[in-house]
Amino acid sequence: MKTAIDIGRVRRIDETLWEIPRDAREDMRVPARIFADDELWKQISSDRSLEQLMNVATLPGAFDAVCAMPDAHEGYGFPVGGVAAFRVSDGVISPGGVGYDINCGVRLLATDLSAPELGDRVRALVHELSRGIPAGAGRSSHFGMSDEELDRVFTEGCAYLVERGMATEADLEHTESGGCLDGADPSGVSKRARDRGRDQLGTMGAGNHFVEVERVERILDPVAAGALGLRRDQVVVLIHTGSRGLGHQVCTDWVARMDQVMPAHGITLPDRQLACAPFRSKAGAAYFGAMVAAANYAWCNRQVIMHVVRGALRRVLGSQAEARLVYDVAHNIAKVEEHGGERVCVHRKGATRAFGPGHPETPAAYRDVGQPVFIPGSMGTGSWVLVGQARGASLSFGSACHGAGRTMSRGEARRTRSGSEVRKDLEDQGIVVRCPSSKGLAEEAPYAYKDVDRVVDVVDRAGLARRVARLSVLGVVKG
Amino acid sequence: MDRADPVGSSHAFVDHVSELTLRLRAPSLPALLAEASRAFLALVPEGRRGAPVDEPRVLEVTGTDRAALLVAWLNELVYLGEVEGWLPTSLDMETRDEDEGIRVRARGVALAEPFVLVKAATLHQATVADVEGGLEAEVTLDV
Repeated sequence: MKTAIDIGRVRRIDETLWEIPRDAREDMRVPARIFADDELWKQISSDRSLEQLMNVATLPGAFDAVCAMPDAHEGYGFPVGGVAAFRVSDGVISPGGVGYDINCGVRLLATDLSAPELGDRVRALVHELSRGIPAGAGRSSHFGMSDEELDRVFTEGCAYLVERGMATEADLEHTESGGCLDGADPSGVSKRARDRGRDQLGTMGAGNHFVEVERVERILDPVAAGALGLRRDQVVVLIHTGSRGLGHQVCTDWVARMDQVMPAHGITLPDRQLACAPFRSKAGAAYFGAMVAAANYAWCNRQVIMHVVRGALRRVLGSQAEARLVYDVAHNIAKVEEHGGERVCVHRKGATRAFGPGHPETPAAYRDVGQPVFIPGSMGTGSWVLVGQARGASLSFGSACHGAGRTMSRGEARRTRSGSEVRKDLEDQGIVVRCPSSKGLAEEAPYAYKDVDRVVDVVDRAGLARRVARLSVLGVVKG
Repeated sequence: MDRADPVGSSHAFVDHVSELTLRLRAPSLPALLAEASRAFLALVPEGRRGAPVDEPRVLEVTGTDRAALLVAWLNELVYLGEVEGWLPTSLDMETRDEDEGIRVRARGVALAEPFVLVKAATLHQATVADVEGGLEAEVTLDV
């Protein structure tokens, strides 16, 4: 590991943007950009985030700049909240730059109901969700799959679930990449990965994953809110999860493989977890195919959960209750995109794609306002809906933050307050809580995270994404 | 055959901003791997640990050096705990080649049900260092 940054080399570009020049360390190939205000800068520069960002800037084929979002914090290899792009022609792809939870992401459903209309039935709804969605580490679903069915999930993504009656064409239209990235290679997904994921489709997992019932608390951009079909007091459901054990194993397998092949490509690294291979090499192409398969599995996972949510809504609120998918967006993924006239493999690790208005990949209904972006806050503090802005294309490869970002370790959070105290705090605020683990609840307490309102304010002022609506929590099912 | 022995071995979990760091100390590499297994078993609540399983199992892992070997071993444990509901508690080293890998005969305990220990062990700052009296190691775990 290289030594920490000489803070004197950092340049403040404006109120929300800081830059570490390329020559701050001799092995950096591009500069580093950090989106933060004074307070968030203090937090980001207090751990190893900047050092890790500079390490990423040393990878072969790094293009333009590496970026840290305002929710960035120390990870392993890449910082969480990091964005980096590598030229397809001569750059690398790094499994650690995507992370273990491949295509962890968020989807938002909008109901026709207002919060007063839901009233006390929120308790029954949260109970029904907790019964239908297995939560907690390793919990299995009732949706076990054969290898042939898994292969269809890997290659067809959510389109396969249309055939199974768990998705509609409209759902696909409102999912990033239509819920299926091209280029999946099921042969790159090991038997172990299949074993870990075979019965986990439709499960939430543990950690910071959740399904939340929320209400639209405030509208800040009525035009964009109208395009997204959001109105004040509307009941919405936010789903946050990823590719479960299958994605974890794909990353494990390919970090180890990259670690073995790097010497043959003459690649040396400041941190072994950045293990990588040229995008166009055999190992690079094979990892990309396996990662795409896991990403398609993750979209199916969120889709199956949404199918369960729709069923729960009908059981609690009546057979006419409907929930429309607003959008689904990934925040741990590598995608081939064109930026600055160059085809690059953009790695977003704890960062959300946030394309500005007019982008052809944004659903037609939203194209004039920009791609929807969802930023969950910590439990009980609210979440945000934004739309991508044009400035992000030139500053952050069209990316924004992905959450509030941790400031406190899980152990410290547990020592601060017990799970039962956190549960009581939330219930005192009128929030209905279901969580299989008190320990898990304590680890995800609101004070363990940065202030999501501040994080989102920086994203807005930096011109990466514009605030549309703030959501507040009515009930939460935690993983 | 090199038998892992808990004497002189220890482990500790240390906080990381978002993850967890595992520190290990042991007199030898086999003992280090056995201590890693005991550390993971400590993550399983007592009520979810089952009975010892008499039948030994042969486990093989490879890594480009000792640190990669330890990370591979930990990831083997992640898989065994999560999918097979079994964790080793004592190891007999059958073959050992630090460049190629290890083969161990292991006895262990069944878990009441498959259990997710951690998502994965990472190579981030993974170290296995020679110290007086044996080896010290550190691995960051994604939890």
